[in-house]
Amino acid sequence: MAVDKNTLEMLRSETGPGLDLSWLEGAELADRVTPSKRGLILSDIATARADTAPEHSENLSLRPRGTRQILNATRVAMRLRDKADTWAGNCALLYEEALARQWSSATDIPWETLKPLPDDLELAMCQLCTHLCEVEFTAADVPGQWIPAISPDHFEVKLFLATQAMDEARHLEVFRKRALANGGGLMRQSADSAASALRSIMDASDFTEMSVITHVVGEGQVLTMFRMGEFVGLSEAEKKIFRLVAQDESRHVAFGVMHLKYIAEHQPWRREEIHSYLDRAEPSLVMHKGGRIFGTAFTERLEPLIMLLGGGRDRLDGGMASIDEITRRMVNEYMQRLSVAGFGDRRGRCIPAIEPYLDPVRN
Amino acid sequence: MTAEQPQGRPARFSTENDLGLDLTWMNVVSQWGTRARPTDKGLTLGAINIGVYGEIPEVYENDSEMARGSIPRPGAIGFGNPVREKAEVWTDTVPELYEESIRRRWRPSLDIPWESIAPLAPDLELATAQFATVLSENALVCLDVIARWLREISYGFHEVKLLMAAQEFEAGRHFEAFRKRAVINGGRLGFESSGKFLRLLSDAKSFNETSILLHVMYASFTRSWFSAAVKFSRSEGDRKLYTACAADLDRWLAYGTGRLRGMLEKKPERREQVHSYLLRGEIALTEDWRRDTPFREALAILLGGGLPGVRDGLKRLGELRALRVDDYLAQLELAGVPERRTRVFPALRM
Repeated sequence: MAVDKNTLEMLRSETGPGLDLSWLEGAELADRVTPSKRGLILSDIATARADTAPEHSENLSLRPRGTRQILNATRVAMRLRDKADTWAGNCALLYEEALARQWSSATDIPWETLKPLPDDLELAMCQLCTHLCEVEFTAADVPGQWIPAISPDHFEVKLFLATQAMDEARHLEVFRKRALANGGGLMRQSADSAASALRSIMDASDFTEMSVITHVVGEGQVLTMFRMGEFVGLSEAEKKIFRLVAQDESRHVAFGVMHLKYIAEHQPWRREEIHSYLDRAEPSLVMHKGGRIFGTAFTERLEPLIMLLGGGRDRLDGGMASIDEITRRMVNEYMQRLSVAGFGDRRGRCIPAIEPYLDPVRN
Repeated sequence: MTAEQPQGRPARFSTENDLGLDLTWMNVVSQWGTRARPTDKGLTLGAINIGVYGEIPEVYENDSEMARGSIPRPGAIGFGNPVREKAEVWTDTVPELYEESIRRRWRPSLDIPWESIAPLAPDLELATAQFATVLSENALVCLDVIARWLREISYGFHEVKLLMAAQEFEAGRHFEAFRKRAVINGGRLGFESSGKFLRLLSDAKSFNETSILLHVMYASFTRSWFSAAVKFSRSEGDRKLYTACAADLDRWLAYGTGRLRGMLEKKPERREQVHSYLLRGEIALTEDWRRDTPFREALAILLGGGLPGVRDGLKRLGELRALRVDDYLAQLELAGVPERRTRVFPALRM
């Protein structure tokens, strides 16, 4: 169905304020889009309208993909115009999932289950939360740095990154709330080595560099840690915090893995560059050896974790053994993700500190 | 329940151990005994702003990633967040606006009854698609703008950063929802806007300028379109869509007007600069209006009830424009800028 041409002509010829109406000419209605079981999701309209993100965007105005161009629109130079620069095959799906799984730290955490803890454990939990606030600050800011640079033809990535910023903001406030809700308080700012690691994410000058360091290595690492929240949390409130945060982080990691996969498939010449990012980020995965921590790296993360996992100041040995187990999981999950992304060769190229934790390859 | 007053200090722990751990952090706590209590709205941001943790500094000097209220490490590296003055970003409702944003979250895919949006006659459906196309484009630019400013704000004002993250998320939701509305009934995406105002917004060089353009001007004018759209909507789904988006923008406006009022109270010498930003915005909006024929005519068709009523729609559109300007000026009055009424760019009304 279209608008009747005669009506348009008649309206134009009438006296009164001039009407153009040319934007209605030739416009025909297509079939109605039917929502799927999950409601009207982005992929429903993309499929119905054969609407796919272009490999390279020639769009230099502000218009989102599919919007019709006008010749006098303002021009904006977009930095990232190749799909491979930022794309991940799952970003639209992850966006919809993020919307479906939003939660509220004010009401979805059973705060009433927090019980007074011995001082050593309360101090450890508060120190861990203080450190995590810092981490989440950075994780919330980083996607925002990149969003304006992404072409509106690849808006699904922008949308996903906006959900990441929202998730990280919520993590920041939930950890702050925990530190201030049970008789403790905020503790010491993390060591410079931790801040430097966070700065390296912020300083990344390429989207893929940022994504590898943030999504694949950094968030992959904390995802493993949060999944161990059943052992770290000392109340149902804390266990639920870690469960919900892990659920969010898993989406961010999934984006990073699929972005890397897209690069591996579409820009294979970038493999060595990717390995160089991994070389730089991997040392943060293993921060202890032979039962001792290297230097001061992540003191404010690892030491409280050791205490919480061990069960107190007097049970540090048990906590250190648990850290060993977490590291083993962290390293193997990391390698598995790289394998899914098409970087299975990393196993033979990883930094030496990782090797002792790698499980044998299963055939 | 009220928060328990901080008291005492924790036991002192020896840092000696066989594992080479540092453990000095165990003897460093900023305010031991803090016990925030949930309110009737849960454990909110406002509820944890107690003691030293609720002290919002006028200028946050620390430019590291430290959480406000924790114990700083001397020599910590900087993160270079340039917006560090409370007067630039703060209004006392920020914590509550953030929590409200979380509480009132909605999902376009499921919370809009899309099945209720029956196909309209081609003229109305295509006009709706054009209207929704521009709203969608606007929202995507807002997403970009908010995202860019998020990292510029100091960590000392984390409540503002949280609110901005929520607004970024809301802008994405508006983009998505209007894109879906444009095409669900077989319509195609329409023409882009000429983008003068959007460019001005993207190019703003300070948070103050950005917030005036985004949280006051954009939010006010777009909020008026939503109110009008609720009236010409012909389905429950459309009404719900516009109402939900309007509720989001009400929070943007509350932030924008509260922030601007507070800023002018503390920095009255900035008043003329505010007028300069407003004038630039008003000129850009006027220019867009003159150039965006498809958007203007689409609205006239919707207000006129269809293509045959387009001329009647144009008259209504004129009235609506005047009402929009009145709404905008009323918001500026709330923001402590009542004199704008006599200084508004004349062509904005025409």
